[in-house]
Amino acid sequence: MPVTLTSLDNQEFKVDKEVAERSILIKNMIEDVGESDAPIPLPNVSAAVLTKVIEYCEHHRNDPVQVQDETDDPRKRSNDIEEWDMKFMQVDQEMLFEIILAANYLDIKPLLDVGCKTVANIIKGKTPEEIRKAFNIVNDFTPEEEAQIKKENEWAEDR
Amino acid sequence: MAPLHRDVVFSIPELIAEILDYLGPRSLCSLRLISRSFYQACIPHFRIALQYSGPLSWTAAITPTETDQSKQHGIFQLFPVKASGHLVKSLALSNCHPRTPQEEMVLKEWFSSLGGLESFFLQESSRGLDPDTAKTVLPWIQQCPSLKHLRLRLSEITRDEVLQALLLGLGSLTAISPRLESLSVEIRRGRRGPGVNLRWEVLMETLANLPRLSSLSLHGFTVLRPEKDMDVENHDHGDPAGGAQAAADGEDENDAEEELELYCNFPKITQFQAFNCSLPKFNLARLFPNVKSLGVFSLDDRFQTGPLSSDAIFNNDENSGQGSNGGTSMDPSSASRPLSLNRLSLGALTASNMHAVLDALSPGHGRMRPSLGSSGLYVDVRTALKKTIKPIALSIQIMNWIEFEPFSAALQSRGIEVREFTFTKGLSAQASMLSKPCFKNLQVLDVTDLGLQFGNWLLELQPPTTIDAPRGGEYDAMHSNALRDGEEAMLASVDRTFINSKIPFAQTLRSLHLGAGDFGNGRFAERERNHYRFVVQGRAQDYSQRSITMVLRRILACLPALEEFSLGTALECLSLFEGLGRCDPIERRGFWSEWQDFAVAKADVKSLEVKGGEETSENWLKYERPFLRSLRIYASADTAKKHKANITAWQKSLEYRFRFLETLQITLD
Repeated sequence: MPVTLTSLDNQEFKVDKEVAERSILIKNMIEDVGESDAPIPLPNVSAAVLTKVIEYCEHHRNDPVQVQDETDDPRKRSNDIEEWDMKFMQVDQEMLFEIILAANYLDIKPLLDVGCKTVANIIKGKTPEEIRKAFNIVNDFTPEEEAQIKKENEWAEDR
Repeated sequence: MAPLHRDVVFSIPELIAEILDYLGPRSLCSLRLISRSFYQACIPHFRIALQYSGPLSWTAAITPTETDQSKQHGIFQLFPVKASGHLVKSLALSNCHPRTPQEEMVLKEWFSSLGGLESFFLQESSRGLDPDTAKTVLPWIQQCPSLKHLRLRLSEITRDEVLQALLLGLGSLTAISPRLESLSVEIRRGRRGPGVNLRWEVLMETLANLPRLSSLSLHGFTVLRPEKDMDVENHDHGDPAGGAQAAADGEDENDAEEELELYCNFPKITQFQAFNCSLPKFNLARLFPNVKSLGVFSLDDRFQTGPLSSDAIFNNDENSGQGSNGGTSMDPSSASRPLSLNRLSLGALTASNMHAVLDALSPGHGRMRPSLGSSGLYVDVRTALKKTIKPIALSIQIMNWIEFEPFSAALQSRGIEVREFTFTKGLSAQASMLSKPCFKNLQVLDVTDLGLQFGNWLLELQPPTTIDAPRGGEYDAMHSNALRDGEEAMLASVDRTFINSKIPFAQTLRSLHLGAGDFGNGRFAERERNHYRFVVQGRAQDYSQRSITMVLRRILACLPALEEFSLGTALECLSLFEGLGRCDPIERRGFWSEWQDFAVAKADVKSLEVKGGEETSENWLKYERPFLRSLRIYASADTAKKHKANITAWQKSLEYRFRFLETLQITLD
């Protein structure tokens, strides 16, 4: 059964229910409202981003639910992005962050994970100055504060 | 103007936390220097780990005099705890003995500033240990309300009550005990010292007071059988069939130890390890019904590992039982519920120890007999495995256990996979065993003995597209056209196919640790690298002088999942890593054609180049393998002497090449 989603800019998207239900937010809304033809408003997601999100959910419609094993290595890896997901994330920086926000709002954990991994991979291996440049961030530390942090960094674990 | 979505993401703490979860210490150090908001966001993730061993000069540290500044080497001077104490997440202290009430008070105050401490490793020798130790040490721990992981290593103690007082006291710390998630208790004995005993009831009471404990590790002591009429009681096996079998197997009466019947269990515990620890016979599945990871190591002939379970059955069934510790009344249904292990680690120093360990895991009546084989001692583990288990993963440490063939055959016949494999001396000659199917999903390989036999095995892995030939002159003229014409991708494909056929775990290996050694006759000679070049086998065969370095490098290139690598053999230069990780496309294209073929066609190589200083997110996965997170190497003394400044250059070079590195350790040999 198709479900209609309405984006921030009032564009409507018809998608299969099982695809839409990759979003826990939408799944809960459908369960709360019951059977209905009424469109589901998603006022925080633009049409462009919703298109991407639906593309992701379509591709992963049959994925099993992720279960974290308690005895697994608790440290998260960012180098295990699937080939398709990696290509899916080949977008400009603003779109990347919009996808992360949409995934967070719509409660799509796997999409949020892959978005955050992508950002983490951009950060890895960069100096503070390079990171500032990559994300256009202004350094608001005083020289004394910066010196103190550098001193603390010398004690960082496994550095 | 609407804020950028990037700024919105970076303003939501939960999202920043999600991103920071994927970053290691090096990246966090950079990130916290970016801006105040990032500094704040990094605080929960940033870890300072303090280690201090040896007697602290507390007096000097606390009351330094103007005339004796040289004594101010206490930890107070080393780390500005008052300003940054909240960042300390991990603390390791050895032999920290305050000598006066004033010192004790200051130490307590110091601990109180470590509000964020999550992990504490306390190492104490007998000098500071008497029954009152608990009264001294525990109040410090009480000052750390965030503590989750506690490791106690007590050396050369001889009095049982020291250990007992510490554990009972720990359980009574109301600020700590409800939050503690892992506890490790290690007793290191002196060579001739008597063993330390812990009463079963004390262990049970301690566990009952730690409701969130999920990981328990016991090391080097004996847990005594309980007295009757406590929360556990003894009674017979109650298994006539088992008894009959035991008799048939020749068990004498003394061997048939009675199993404890348990009236409480600890369902929160998912990891349990016993190292050199003698335990009374109990039913593991009943005491720790949700244990997922089990490690049993018996490395000392003086300890006998008693059977852990009489009827634990390992299988892959989902075991969804949850609950809290606290010695909850045992669910009657759990008595027959099988364990569901996903990790089993076995370790033994001698054949008889391996006998004991495996026997402990078998259903109590399948005694194995170590026997003397033609090439040394071995244990016929096939007998044991008939009675035991089918874990999802098996971790094995083998030290001087010579005959590996029966073991691998037994594993193979039962469909058991080895995920982690460690061997030290004695198995080098059997390195070819690693090609067996039971290793097809191996994730961790730790080889200490890098002798001739292992070197020979490595050389057998030389890809067929590789021969070694001097560069330049006639040779280059002959083959450079072929390389330019696109043979590289083909060579890479052949290489990978070959390596995958020889190393069944090439696609899954995450961690490779090679110890010290020259692989026999000084064959680890890096500087020969300039004399080699890869071409199709069959050409220029006259030049074949095989090099371990070159083969090892090409193997590393064919291990896409590799994240941890260490090599104990001293390096003279970094040629071992050429073409790996982030490097110039020409370096990769010229010598390491396999990477071009690994993920994309050669034509895409241009996209690797950074455009306008801005790195795109799309290319990182394609070319930078392996994504090493941990690299530990040695530099030769000669190298260090001649090129002292170069060690820093090595560090920078490796950090650039492997930008996912979280741990880089270069030790001067």
